Amino acid sequence: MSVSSSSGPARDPFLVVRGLKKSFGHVTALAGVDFELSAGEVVALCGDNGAGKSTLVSMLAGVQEPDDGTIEIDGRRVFLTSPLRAQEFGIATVFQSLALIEQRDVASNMFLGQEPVRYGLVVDRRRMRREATDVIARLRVGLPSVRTVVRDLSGGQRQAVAVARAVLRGSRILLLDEPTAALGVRESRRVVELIKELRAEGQAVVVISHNMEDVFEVADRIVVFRLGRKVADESRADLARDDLVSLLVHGRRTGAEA
Amino acid sequence: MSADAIAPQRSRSELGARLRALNLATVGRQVALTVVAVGLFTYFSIAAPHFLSSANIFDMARVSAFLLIVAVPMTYLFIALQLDLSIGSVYGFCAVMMGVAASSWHANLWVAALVAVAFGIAVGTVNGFVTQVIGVPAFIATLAGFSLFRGLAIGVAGGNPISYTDASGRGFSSIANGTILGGVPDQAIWALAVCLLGGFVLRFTRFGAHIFATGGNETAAMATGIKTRRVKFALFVLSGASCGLIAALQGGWLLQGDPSTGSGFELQVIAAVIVGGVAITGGNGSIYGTLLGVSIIGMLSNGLVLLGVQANWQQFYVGLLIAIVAAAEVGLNRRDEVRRLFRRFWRSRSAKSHPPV
Repeated sequence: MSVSSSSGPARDPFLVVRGLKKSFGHVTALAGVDFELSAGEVVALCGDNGAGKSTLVSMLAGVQEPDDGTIEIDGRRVFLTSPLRAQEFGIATVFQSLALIEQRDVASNMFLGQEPVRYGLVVDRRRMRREATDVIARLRVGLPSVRTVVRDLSGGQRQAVAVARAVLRGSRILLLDEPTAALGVRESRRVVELIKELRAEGQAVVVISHNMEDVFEVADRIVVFRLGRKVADESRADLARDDLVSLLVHGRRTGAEA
Repeated sequence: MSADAIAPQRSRSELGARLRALNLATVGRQVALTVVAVGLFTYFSIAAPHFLSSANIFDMARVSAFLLIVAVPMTYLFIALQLDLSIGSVYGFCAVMMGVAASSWHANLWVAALVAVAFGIAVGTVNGFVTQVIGVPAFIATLAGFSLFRGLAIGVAGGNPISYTDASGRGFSSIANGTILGGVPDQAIWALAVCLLGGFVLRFTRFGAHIFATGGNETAAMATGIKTRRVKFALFVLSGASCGLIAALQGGWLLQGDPSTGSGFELQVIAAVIVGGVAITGGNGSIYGTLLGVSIIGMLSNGLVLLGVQANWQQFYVGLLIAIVAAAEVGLNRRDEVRRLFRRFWRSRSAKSHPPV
C-alpha cells in the first residue's frame, strides 16, 4: 500500500476542532476536546459507551450543536446547524440507520432529494444510473446493478450504497458510525476494503468502531475517548493493541509489564 | 484479503441484472391485476348479454370516471402513508357551493364550476394545514372533515338539493355532460386526462420521487433534504382539488347541488386504490394499478347486474375482492416467509412418507 502507515501527527489538517464542549443536563458528554483531520486520513474514534465519540461525530454531522468550542474548515470558523449545512461544507455522515428507502432502487437512493432533471421537469434516470454506476465501479463494491431494489440487498451492500451516496455528493469528510456493527465477518471485510479505497482517493474518513480488528487494520490514527475527554491521539504504529485496551478501560497505558 | 474480492461481478449479464432488479412485489402485482382485469372483461363479455356493447362500455366509463379522478391523489396519499377520509363529504360540499354560486349569486356556470374547484382547494389546504402544520394524524383529521364538511353541505343547502340552470347558453355543460368521438362521455375524457397526468407526475418527476421517498422512509427522506411535510401538504390540496373538479363536472351534468352527493364515496375510492395494489405500508404503488383497480370494481358492479345477480349481493362481492387482494398483497410482501412455510410443510410430509432408515 502506498499510503504510509506511520503518518504521525496530522501534517496539513483542513478540519480543526478546538475545545468542543457539550452537556446534556448534568451529564458532560464532551469536556473540551481538540481534534484535527487531514485529507486522505482515516481516523478511528474509540471509547466505551458514553465516552463522547458519538457526540463529537453528531456535532460534526450537524445533528447537535456544541455548547462551547469552535469548528474550523480551511481556516474559517463554521457553524454546522443542520445535516444539510454540514453537507454544504463537504461533511457527509453515514448513520447506523443508513437512511435508505428500501422500496426504491440503488440509483434512486443515491440521488435521493437531489434528482437531476431534464427539461426542468423530468427526472433524468439515465444520468442517475450512469453516475451511480460510475461511483460504485470506482469504489469496487460488488453490486449486481444500480436498478436493484435496496430491499433485495445484503447488509454490507446497503452500507456500500450509503457510503457511495456520500461519495457521489462530493464529500471531503466521511463520518461512519459503526459501519460494521450489524454485519457478518465477510461483509465487514468488504466495508474495510471500501474505506481503504476511499483513503486511496484522498478522502478523509472518521470511523466510530468497537471492532479492534477493523480499527487496527484500517486506521492511520486512533483517538481514544474516556468520560468525555480525549485520552489518546496516536498514529496506529505508535499504539500497541494492549495499550488501546488499557486506554479504553482505565484511561491510561499499562506500561511495559503487560 | 485483496481488493479483488470486492470487484464488481461483471460476469453477470446486464439483462440478467435487469431481470433481477425488477421489483417482484410491484411488477408481479401489476401483472396479476392485469390478468384479473382482462379475465373479468372476457368472462363478462361472453357470459353477460350486452356487456360488450358500446353503450354499456361508455356507461361503465361514465360511472367510473369520478372514482378514477379522486383515486389518483388518493394513490399519492397512500404511497406517502397518508389518507383522506373527507373526500366524499368535500365532494358534496363543493357540489352545494356550486349550486349556491349558480342560484343565489347568479353566477355563470363556468364561474360556478371554478367556485366548486376553489372550495375543493381551500378544503384541501385546511386538511393539509391540520395534518402537516398542526400535526394531527391524517386518519383523525380527515375523519373530522368527513363529518364537518357533510354537515356544512347540509347546513348551507338547508337539507334540500339546490337546482339551477345553465344560464350561459353555450355553456359549461357541453364539456361536462357531452360526448365526443362517437359517444365517448366527457367525464371519461376528464378522467383519462387526470390519470395520464397523474401517472406522469408520479413516475417521471421529482415530486413523484419525493412522494415515494416520503412514504418509504420519511426520516431518510428528511435527512437528504426532502421537505416531506410540504410534499404531504401538497397531496391533501390535490385531493381537495380533485373533489372540487368532480363536483363541478357533476354540476354541469345534473344542474343540481345535492348535499348528500358523495355519501360513501370515500370508501369506494379507497377500495379501488387498495384493489389496485398500492402498498398499505406506504412507499409503493402506481397509477396504472389504480386504473386497473377502478376498472375491476366498475366491471364487477356492472357485470353482476347484467348477469342478474341481485343488487343486494353486489357489495358482498366487492368486499370479497378487497379481502382477496389484501391477502394476496400480504402474501407477496412476505413471500420469502410464505415460501419457507411451504417448504417446511413439504419436507415434513415427505419425511413422513419416507422415514429415515
